[in-house]
Amino acid sequence: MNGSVGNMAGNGASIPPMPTGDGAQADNWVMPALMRHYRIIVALILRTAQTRFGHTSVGYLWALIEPIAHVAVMSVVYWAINRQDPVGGNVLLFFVTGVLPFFLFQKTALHVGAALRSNQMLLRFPLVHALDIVTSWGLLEGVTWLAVSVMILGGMVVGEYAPVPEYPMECVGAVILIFTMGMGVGLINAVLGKMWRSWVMLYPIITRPLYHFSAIFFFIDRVPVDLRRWLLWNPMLHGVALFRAGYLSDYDTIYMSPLYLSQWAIGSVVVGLCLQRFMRKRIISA
Amino acid sequence: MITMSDITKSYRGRPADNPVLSHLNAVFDGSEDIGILGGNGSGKSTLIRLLAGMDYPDSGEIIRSPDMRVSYPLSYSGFFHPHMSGRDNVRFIARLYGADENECIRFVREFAEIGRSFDQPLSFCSSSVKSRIAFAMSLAIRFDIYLVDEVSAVGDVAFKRRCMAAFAERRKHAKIIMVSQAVTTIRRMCTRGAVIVDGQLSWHETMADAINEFENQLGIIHV
Repeated sequence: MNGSVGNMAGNGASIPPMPTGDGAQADNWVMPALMRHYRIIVALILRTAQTRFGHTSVGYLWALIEPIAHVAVMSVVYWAINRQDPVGGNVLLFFVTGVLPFFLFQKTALHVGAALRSNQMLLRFPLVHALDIVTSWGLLEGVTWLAVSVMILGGMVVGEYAPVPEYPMECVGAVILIFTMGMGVGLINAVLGKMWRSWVMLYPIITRPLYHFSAIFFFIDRVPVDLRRWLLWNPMLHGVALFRAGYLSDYDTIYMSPLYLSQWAIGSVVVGLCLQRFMRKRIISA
Repeated sequence: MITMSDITKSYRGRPADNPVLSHLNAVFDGSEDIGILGGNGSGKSTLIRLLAGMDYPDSGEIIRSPDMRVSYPLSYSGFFHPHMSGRDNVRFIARLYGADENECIRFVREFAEIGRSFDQPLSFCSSSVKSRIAFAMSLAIRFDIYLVDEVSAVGDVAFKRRCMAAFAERRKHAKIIMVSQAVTTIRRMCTRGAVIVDGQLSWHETMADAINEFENQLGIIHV
């Protein structure tokens, strides 16, 4: 017994075989650099997916419940005041096709906006770029939204509460543009939130009215012209309209401008990237 | 090769005309073990963070040639997520570096000898378990240069010996850049030295000369 204990103490300095894998280099060639960022973003997505809601996964259920709750509340209100359907005979589909694209934008902008604040330590990781963190949080949000939307709309189609989309490619286009705009605004939020703490509180207050002004619960053609002129400045109104028009041609409207939405999407990403580049020293050490 | 040219770095709350590092120039070619001495608040940790790429200088340029892989500071644990287990944290860092996940996990588990704590969220683990994982992790990946900010010894005597043995194993194919106040350790491990004086590096041909200057500097401060 004693002998073996003594032996163990003597082998105190024995170590398991060392792994032979190399640490990544800061490679500047295009393909290796892209591969490295791809690898890092995947690692970040897996980490974020695991830690996003702490130890539980009830959070993902919430992502499904929230849009359903919004639609349910509005449907009950409509039924209670016995209003006419905005367009066509399907109130439920009208609300769902409004709430879902709006959530895609708002959730992405908020979640991406929190990415840098929540990952101060990772920003210091020599290999990890701020844009890797932002991209991974955005993609995770996008994938979550996609799963939620397929479940809700798929469920409605299967239950024969809704038809299949008439122009699916138009819906896909709307989703890509809205998601891009969410990423752009989210990136701007992420940088501003690190520079100026109050922005974290201000952004939700400022964009609160968007929910009511994005034509989620009404049809833009029925709005008086004086009001409509102002509402059309809101890019999310065009996003919602584009998604709806793709789903059901009854929802098509002449006021919709995919070009305006695209300009916002590209513009916000450009502004966000410039801000990030301009502030990168303060982002890492703030 | 890491080239630092005209580096100035100050921190918030510190007046800009009194920076931690000021107009510092240095070239680390990875051919020797470098020891850098400096008193408290002299900018040792700042230098290591800049070398690791964990912070930007206020002005000046740091260029790392792509053929030299530089580690993050040895046994740094700030990258660990408290809600994830040691195993998942190791997996994440291995993924970041593109190293073999399973091999890194195997090494850290066997080296740290922490049993079931390896699969518990780090927030439930004791600080000694965390530092064991952190030390093992920082040696699990092969680098050309290991950055060391004071060798903080963890655990009991046996574990300390294991740490030194594993570090020696890595140093067979790698060099170190170490900042410290611990003259004895740095004398043992480094062949060439510098002292941080007024935010700049004062180089010496041998570690012994650097230690002399450092001890003289301390003497002057104490008088």
